[in-house]
Amino acid sequence: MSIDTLAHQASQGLKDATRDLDLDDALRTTLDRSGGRRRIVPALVIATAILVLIVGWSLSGELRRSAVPVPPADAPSPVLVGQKLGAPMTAVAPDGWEVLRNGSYVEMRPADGSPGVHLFMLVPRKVYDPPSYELAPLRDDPIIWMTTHPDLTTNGQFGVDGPGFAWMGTKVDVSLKPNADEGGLHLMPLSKAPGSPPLAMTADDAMFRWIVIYFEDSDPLAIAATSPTPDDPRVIEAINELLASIQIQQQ
Amino acid sequence: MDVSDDAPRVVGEPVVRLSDVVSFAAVFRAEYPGLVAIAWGLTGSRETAEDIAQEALLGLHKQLKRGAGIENPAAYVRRTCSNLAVSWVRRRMAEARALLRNGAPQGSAPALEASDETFWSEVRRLPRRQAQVVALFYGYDMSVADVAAILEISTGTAKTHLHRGRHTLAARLGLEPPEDEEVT
Repeated sequence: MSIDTLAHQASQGLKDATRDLDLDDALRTTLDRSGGRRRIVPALVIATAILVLIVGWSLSGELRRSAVPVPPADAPSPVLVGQKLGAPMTAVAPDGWEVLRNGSYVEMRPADGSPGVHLFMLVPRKVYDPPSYELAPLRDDPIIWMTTHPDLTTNGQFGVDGPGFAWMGTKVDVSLKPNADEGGLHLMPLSKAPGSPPLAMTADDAMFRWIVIYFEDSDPLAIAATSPTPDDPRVIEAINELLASIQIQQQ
Repeated sequence: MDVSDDAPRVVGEPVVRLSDVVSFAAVFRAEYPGLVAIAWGLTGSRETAEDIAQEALLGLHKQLKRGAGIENPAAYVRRTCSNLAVSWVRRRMAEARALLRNGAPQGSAPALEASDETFWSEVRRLPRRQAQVVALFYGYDMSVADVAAILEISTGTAKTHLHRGRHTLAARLGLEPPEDEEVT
């Protein structure tokens, strides 16, 4: 049996299994849904707008300078990150960490001054695309680009709840395959934090953590990657906490 | 209702154009079964699929209420539905809503044949865009160009996704690699 035969057969199976749908009932249910439960949306939009105004007002001026330290507050509060992204995003510094940021990156650093970790937030437009490794526009789905990249191994996927609006996240652990060039592999041209190492994958520093954030029906907004590779569980936990706190402000 | 006969097949030329004459209900009746089928394949749950299909059509309804002109409502709801279906978050939310509304998954819902379920479970393992392209291509029996139009991507990109998806499926299902010339 060919894949086409099986696919058509499986598609017909789905159609056969949906013949008993009650269209009248479904239409009624759908129209009912356009009423009551939608009333929550304006409230959420208003709440988001207020949050944006408060955060924008409190951080205005400071946000426009690069790498401004944000001391941890008694009560965690979101800081605006990623101003150069497709949409402003906020994140909450994990307890015991401070965050340096400009428009396109975040650096997390323990409050005691020990070495931190760079967390890049950016909108990739061009990547070095195999097999020629010429700089080319990123395809419409970076996850596919990564998962089909001949030099990379990827795994893992999860979603992140958005507050009041629909978006999803996909996080993929990326590592170089053992037979990749030892000289390192540049994946994309990046803006990077002052003094931070270039974000190139090498055999010695091969693990990066990514989060790709989508709005529904739109292009990916951001990719974040950490460098150097975090191996301290506390660092990884802090990164996950920061990533989980990311909220895209509704535009 | 015979879904295969009623479902629009040509995306570039919408079967139903919204106007004062043709109502939302007409679009709903034409599209709903096909949307449920596609979403079922992409989520593995009929209850979730029904919820997602309604969500997609609800989006169209909202657009119409706002007075937004939708040039191709069939493409709009199919794109929205396939996006919702491959969204992990939305799928989980939809399942939660379906459970809340229905109390529990309906045991009376017909199950798919084992071979059909095997195929769709492998489709769900594909990367997001590949799964969408495969589901639309086979589910609606449409051309790659029409799939590309629905997903608002280039035909070349859709071909690439379909090519990779078909080869991955064939390998995982123990079938011969597909002939590329078959895809148009």
